Amino acid sequence: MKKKLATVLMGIMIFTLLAGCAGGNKATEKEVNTDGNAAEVKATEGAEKEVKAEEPTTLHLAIFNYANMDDMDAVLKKANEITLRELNIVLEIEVIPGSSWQQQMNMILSSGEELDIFPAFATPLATYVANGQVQALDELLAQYGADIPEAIGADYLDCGKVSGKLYGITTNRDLAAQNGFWMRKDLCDKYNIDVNSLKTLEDIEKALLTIHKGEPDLYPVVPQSNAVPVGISNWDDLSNGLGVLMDYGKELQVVNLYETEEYKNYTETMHRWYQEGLIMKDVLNNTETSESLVRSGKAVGAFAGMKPGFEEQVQRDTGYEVVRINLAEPLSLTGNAAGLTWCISSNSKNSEAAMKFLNFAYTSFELNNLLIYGIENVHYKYVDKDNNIIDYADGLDANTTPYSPSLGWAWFNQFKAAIWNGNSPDYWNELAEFNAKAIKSGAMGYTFDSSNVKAEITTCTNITDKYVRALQAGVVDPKEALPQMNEELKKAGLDKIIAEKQVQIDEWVKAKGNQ
Amino acid sequence: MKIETFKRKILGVLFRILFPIILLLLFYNFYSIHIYNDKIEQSNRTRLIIYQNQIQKKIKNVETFVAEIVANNYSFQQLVNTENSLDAYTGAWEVMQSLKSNLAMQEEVGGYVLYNKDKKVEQAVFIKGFTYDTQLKIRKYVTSSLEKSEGLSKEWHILDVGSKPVLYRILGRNETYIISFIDMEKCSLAMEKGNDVSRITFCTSLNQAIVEKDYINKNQISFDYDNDNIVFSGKPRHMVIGEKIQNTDLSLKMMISNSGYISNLNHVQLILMIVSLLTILIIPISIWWIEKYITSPLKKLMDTMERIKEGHTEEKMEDDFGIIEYRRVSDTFNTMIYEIKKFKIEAYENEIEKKRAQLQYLQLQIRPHFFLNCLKIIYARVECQKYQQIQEMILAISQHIRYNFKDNLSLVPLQLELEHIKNYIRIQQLSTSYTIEYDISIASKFYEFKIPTLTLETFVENSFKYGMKPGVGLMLKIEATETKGKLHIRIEDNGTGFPEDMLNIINGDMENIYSDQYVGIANVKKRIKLIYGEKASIYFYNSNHGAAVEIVFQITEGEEGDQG
Repeated sequence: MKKKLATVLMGIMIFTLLAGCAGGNKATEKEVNTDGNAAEVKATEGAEKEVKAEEPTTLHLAIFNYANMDDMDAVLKKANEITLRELNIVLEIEVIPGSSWQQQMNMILSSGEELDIFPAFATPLATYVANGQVQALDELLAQYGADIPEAIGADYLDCGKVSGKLYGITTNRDLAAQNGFWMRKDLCDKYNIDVNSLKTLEDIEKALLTIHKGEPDLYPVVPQSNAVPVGISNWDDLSNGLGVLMDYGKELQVVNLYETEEYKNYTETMHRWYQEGLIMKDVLNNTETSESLVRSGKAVGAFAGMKPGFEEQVQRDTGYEVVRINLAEPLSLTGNAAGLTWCISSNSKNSEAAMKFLNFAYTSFELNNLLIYGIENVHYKYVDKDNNIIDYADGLDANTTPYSPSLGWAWFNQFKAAIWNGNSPDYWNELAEFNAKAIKSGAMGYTFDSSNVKAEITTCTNITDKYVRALQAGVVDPKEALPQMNEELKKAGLDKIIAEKQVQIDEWVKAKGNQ
Repeated sequence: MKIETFKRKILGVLFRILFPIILLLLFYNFYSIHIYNDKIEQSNRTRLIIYQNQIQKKIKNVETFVAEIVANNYSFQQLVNTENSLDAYTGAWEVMQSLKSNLAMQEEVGGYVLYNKDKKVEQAVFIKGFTYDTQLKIRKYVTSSLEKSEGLSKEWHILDVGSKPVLYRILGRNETYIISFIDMEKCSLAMEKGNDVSRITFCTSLNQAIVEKDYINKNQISFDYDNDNIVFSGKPRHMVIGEKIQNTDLSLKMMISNSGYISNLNHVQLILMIVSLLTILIIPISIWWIEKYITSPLKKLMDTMERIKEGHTEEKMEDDFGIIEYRRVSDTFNTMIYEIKKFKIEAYENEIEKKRAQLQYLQLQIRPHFFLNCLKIIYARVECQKYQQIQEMILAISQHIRYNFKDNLSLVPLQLELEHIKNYIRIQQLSTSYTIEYDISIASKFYEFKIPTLTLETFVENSFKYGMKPGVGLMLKIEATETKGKLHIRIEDNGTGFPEDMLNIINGDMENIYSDQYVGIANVKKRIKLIYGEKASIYFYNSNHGAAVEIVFQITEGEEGDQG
């Protein structure tokens, strides 16, 4: 009897073990299912709650990021408190990594995913308009966005127009650029260079030669990564440089930039600089930013389009005090403002609510502060409440913050937000003044419509890609390269493009005149 | 045949059966595990070979692509041919465009460098992840290796600078080179990592690992160049299998954490293996079981038997055995012991009886009254100076005594008993004035028949003691007859006879009657019983004349031997 019992027990034991192994999976499956159901239940509950309260409108918004924005959810929550209170609107914000911004936006817009408000960035606004992906805002603006023109200025507002209709609203940022050169002050001091006497390219050349002799291992001039080093562009490139308006666009005459004296002189100077070793030899293969190269002590300075507070910014970035030499007047092109504009997508179901929101966004201190800088005392703290100056919250810095304050220029109206520590308390005013006082190109507000010359533009762009970087970096000899390039451009139909642009501008002027 | 204890025998049998079975089971288990591990190793190797092929294919693709450009690309040709620096630049640029678009398409390619020293052409494109610094280091390395006129390489070589290991190959012609770089980290990522159990790395010809360095250091794994065999290395132990990547100086190494056969088993297998190992426990369990239920009870049985043999007769077998057979043995043994004891007791009791009888007999033998009487008579005769009578009496008495003191259980021929009776009667005659006559009619063939001593004489005595009628002399008759194998000896007197109640008693079982009155009869009866058992019997009755005693003996072939 005992034996029988023992055998049976043994058998049960083994069997249970085996069953348990197999059964374990089932258990987890069940868990997952239960959790899934729980989530669904919660969601429906939430939805029901929303339905009960007077149905606030939900707006979907997209934004890109190049730095850490992990805390977007927390910030959004707070933002929604504001929008719900003021507008009965709830936002849903999707953050897309900057490196894949264009591809993802293409996907969203072509898949019919819900999107109401997004910034036209990297991809030109004109492209979105051509694809029918954004809607005209004139009427909506008139009805619900009355505060916006005042917030950014009528001129800049016009930059968001394509073919006479408004499609995008720019943000308050540096909407002009003053081309010039910046370099390390300490080296100037070391070699007894009087920074105040530096006014022209030649002056800079002399100074750099001195420094270069003394510091043969440093790169005197470095480019802004892949960007074309442009020393003195005081022309309106009319979005692609194929046919430009020289002299700050004062004359509305479209010409071939690459045949101008100015351009010839400029590239020859650069070529000379290159041969003198003043330009980083590996300039065409460089992948670092000029600030990064200066920061790591490898470079002296670079050309840049500058704005108020530029030196302080660079100093913050590189750790070196820099001097700034303005080589041109502040110039504002359509492209500056059109570089980023906020649009309402064509398939938005809540266009009115969207415009209402935009109107609010361009005027609300609270909202802008929140979206740009994060939550007070979590991400930032006031260092000077009177002057509205803030800095990172305790324990955070540029590397560790979960909400980077680097998208001020992208959010609607950073002039209506706090000022980051290091800039003068008057910073926004300075910037506004800068924007206001900048020379506006004659074609300001005009955006080139390339549909008639698409093919020519493609070919010409290839050609300019091939030569222009090398020319402006001084790597190739312009005496040879310029004629060759121009010949190729002519063959590729540059004249046609120029003619097309001229026709469009003339029409635009007429149309504007009639308003 | 070898004699051994039951325990040893049974354990021997058990072992001879169990051992092979258990050995077989264990062998089967380990063999299966071994095969299983083999299969795992095979499948790992297969996986490794797949990756090897993948990588070789990628490398081949890049080689083909670049070779194509070097051979056929128009711009490359331009670059090679031209002396004009602008043309060199534009030619290089065009080539770079092709390389750039290829870069975008190929997953694991890290970058390209186009180089012609004389024409001052060095253009590079790398994927994201290569810092400018790293790019410079890589470019410097390859261009300086070109300087050293190492020129074109037959193989891809590993270059590990700036924490971005790359595999590079220099292709080109006419001093114009395209150097291709394969990003080893991306290659490594492309291989399915899966789990903590196996990891893959690349290993240089100097047995340095390219990726997974932390893991390798942590586990102290070291590589050698041998790719054909499996190598074990590291703590905890890892199985390392390798495959060379063709056209490179790299091997692909897979490290599988393997702390022995066991680690590859899943739960069920592990349990089965443990259970089968546990079967070894069958041996001690069987031993214990056999001990408890078979050998131990047996030992108890044996011990008890030993003790009984040594004389502890009160020992009994315990009967709480679990096995029927043992119980039966125990019961039977107990019964046997009981019977033996009973027999012993009976034997003892018999002995005692014999002794008692002997005692009685001795008692009878001594018979003080008789001898005192005889002495009294002798004294009287001495007084009367009847010396002849005295001599006769003394002789008779001494003969009587001589005969009396024979062993009570020995047998004497009938004749001797009769002689003794005659002697006794003579004494009596001499002692008394009464007439004492006798008639002994026994055929001479019976003379040799053996009977116990004093059997007949006792009854004759009794006649003298109790059978004499006053005033009448005593007449005794003793005769023997034979019927059907039985001998009848009868003694009769002319006395008063037995009283009725006495007859009942003396004919019955006189086991416990030892009173003086019946001591003689009782003794005879006893001795007859002791010696003959049921083969003799005595009857008492009253005849016409007086008391009669008849003893019946069973006559066998030979004569009755001494049963004492």
